[in-house]
Amino acid sequence: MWNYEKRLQYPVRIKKPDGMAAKIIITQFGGPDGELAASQRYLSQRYSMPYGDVAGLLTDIGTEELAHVEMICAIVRQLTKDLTIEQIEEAGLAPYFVDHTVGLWPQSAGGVPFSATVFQSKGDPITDLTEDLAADGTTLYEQTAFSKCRKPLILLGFCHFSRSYKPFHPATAQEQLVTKNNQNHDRTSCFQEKSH
Amino acid sequence: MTDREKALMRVQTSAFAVTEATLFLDTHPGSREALDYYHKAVNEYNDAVNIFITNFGPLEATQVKSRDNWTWTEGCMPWEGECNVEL
Repeated sequence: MWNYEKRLQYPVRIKKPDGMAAKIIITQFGGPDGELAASQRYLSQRYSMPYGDVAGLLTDIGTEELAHVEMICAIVRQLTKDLTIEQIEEAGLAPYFVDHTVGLWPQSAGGVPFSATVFQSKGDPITDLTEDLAADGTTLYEQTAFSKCRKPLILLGFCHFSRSYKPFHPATAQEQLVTKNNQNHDRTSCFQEKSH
Repeated sequence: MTDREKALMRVQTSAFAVTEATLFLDTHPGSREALDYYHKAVNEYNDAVNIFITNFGPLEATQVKSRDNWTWTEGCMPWEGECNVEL
């Protein structure tokens, strides 16, 4: 079972709405390599994982992915909640708005609804872990594509990188995170620059 | 930064350290250094949580202190911008 902690894993505080950015970032919620898929991938695969330590790891990663779903939803929510109808049309969000208004609904940037077909759970540890590497690698790519503009996305890129490629030594994880955050990422996000 | 934001930031920072240490230990259970770090991080997290929930309300439904009011659903929701620290 799970307990809910009433806080984000990492702060999300966006000042200006930006429909264009929301339209892209929503894919990290419901897209093929998004956080929802990631959480369900790990949490589905763990049942047939024959090694206790790896099953435990899949549980812990899957749980963290649920926190990432919440962060992405917070980003999209804050980017869209104060949009005017004109801004929604301008951003190309009218087809989304007509079905969901500014509610959060898991879909890809292209409008494809979230589907379990984007991940695998085969009951074979090597097959499943290989799929995890591929999926988290893609997530990393997508998230760092936006990392110049938003710190929460840097955090997510960092998490997925450390899961897939290089386990961060805990004693240095915090420092590395701080360093990553301080790497000259302009406080004016690209979202703010783009909004009028 | 407000007192609430400072307290929240301390919870988030220490919780992240705990999460990272947990994931590391899952695959490196024999690391004495990581285990020491984990316990240090958990102590810091517990302290941070206690300060937060004493002053700013529960982070989990089992942390409601009041005998008179249901405080769990009070205050801002975590996905709202004003509920978060500005970095």
